[in-house]
Amino acid sequence: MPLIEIKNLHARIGEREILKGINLAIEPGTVHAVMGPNGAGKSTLSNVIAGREGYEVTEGEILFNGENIAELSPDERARAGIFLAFQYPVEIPGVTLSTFLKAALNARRKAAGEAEIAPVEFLKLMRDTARRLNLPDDLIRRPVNVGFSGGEKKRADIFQMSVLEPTLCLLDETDSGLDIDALKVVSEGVNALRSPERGFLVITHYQRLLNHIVPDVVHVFADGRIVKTGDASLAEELEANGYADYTDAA
Amino acid sequence: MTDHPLPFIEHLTEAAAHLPGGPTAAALRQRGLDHWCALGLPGRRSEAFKYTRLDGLKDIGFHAAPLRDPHPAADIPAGDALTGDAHVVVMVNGRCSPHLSDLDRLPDGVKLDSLRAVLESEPESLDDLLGRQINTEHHPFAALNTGLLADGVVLTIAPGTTLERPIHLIHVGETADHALAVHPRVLVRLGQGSAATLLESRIGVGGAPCLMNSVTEILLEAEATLDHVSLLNLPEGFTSLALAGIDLGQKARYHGFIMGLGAGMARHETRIRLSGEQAHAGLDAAAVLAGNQHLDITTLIEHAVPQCTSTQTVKSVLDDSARGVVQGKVVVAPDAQKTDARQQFRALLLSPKAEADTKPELEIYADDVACAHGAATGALDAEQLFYLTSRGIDPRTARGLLIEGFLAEALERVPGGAHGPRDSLADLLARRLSGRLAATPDAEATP
Repeated sequence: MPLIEIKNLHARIGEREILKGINLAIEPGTVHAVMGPNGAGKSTLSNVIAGREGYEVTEGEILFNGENIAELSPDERARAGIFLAFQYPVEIPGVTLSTFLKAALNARRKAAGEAEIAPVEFLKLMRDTARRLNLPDDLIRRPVNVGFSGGEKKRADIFQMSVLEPTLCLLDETDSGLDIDALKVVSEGVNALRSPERGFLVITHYQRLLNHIVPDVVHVFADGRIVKTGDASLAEELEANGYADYTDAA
Repeated sequence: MTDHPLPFIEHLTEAAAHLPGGPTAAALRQRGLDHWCALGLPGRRSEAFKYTRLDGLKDIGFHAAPLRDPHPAADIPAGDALTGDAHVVVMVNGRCSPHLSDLDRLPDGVKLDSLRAVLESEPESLDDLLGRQINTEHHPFAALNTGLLADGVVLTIAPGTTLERPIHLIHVGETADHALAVHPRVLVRLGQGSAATLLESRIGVGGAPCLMNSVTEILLEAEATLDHVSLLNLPEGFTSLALAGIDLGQKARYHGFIMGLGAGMARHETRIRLSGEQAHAGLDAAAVLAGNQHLDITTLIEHAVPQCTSTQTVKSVLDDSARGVVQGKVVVAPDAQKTDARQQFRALLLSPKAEADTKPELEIYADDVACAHGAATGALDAEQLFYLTSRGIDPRTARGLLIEGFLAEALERVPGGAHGPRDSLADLLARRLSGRLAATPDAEATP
């Protein structure tokens, strides 16, 4: 059974239709990349999967582990194992990363019928994960994303993903605004999470991220549809020729 | 002019003969009475009370609190007050209660007495403190408090003394079958180079209305430091009016923090005068109001001399039909060059019926100064809420986290650690937020 199966998905914001019939299935253990020009609907797809308000699904369905998630709120989807790494991670003044992540981790544990994490265990998890992602030790005592550079924000999102251990990771333009060193750290963080039971949907405009996170499947998005699907070599082809062929076709 | 007889006038005239203190106190009371007669309850045209209408007080029929010591077994709702290791002084209905207080186990250099005792035994020791930091001529409720001056607390810290544990003043309003008006006076003097933390909790029990009308006068001599935390946690039927007048000498530091969790109606006014060079005043507040609660935080910071600094951060969270008023004025005198004054007032509205009235005001007569003020009112941020819920946090917890985060900045400068009240304030706040406040974005207003 696929981890997530998207069938004929149509979605709109207000009167504007953005997704015009998406079909996509991600098997556990695989990395799917979604590439395409700006405005093709790539971010909308990840937002609709995560359950963000403001999008209306007009047709089709999303099955996560075989269950239709249409009626689930964003927090329920997250507790079920879906994680969205944001294109623009949000600043939360006055709330430390530690408080935030402890609440998120315990919400997941509670949903799974587990006890709350012990404070010592939590601190160790925070410290070890921060080191692995080359983030400062004091990170968890700082308010979420406040005063972080663009690269730190992206790394902090991957940090959250590493701690929460979702089964489906949606990465929305995680490479945008990253210099080459930050890109490497983020990619290593993602690769460390690759496992037989976990699936990834990596949304990106550029091929360079996919040199570091090598996908199993690449989809080309244009005007709300998947116009081509291939293996990792498709990304290289796009890098060489651009999106013009596909946007003209769409 | 009003057709109603002036309220409290019977309290004022009947009390005069029985109240403690010598001719100085009597003369002060007479001035208070005169000014109350001239001013009366503030009406529609009063600019200072523009957003806070108190003319309803005339219809309540308050009784004066008895002058005798309060009942020793006063039923204090201690859970509503700040907690922690402190020297506790309890005032029940404006009367200092020695049996509920730790007046006699104080460190060297600290004197803490009931005002009534000092007025009876050595009233002359109050000559340069009592009535000096406030002006009854323009403030009706300070005039009323002064006209009925009878009891309260006098705290004196000797020069060079550092008090480790805070002094915690618990004001208890206790009503039974009739409405009660109480008018406590708190006098504080910190000698040169001394340091202390003063906590005040305003709490209450009882079905009948209560008016707590307090006046606090604080004098900080040169290089003295005072952290002053006031908690307002009163029942719905209570009205809390407070005026604090604070004077800072050279290099003195005052940091005030007000936590407003309730009272049906409250107005807390703080007037700070920076009268010695390089003095610093900080005045922060956090309010969490719901139902029909009303809290008015009014401040005046007067930079009278050069090189002083002041900061103010007020954060209000308003749900249901609650109303938060913040009026903050900074005055910089012509000589007060190199003044640095900052004000920031922000309100978070959780309901369409909640209302925030914010009035920052700068009055600057010097040219070489740095002054900044800002005010903002808004709802919870949808992006932030989505970010939190997208990590698995339920919406109610997410709203609670955002509200706590919003208030955190105002709490930053409150002393923490073993003796600081910050943890206790955070507990009270968490308790308040775990209630209905964070429950729904558009909670129905309580009738």
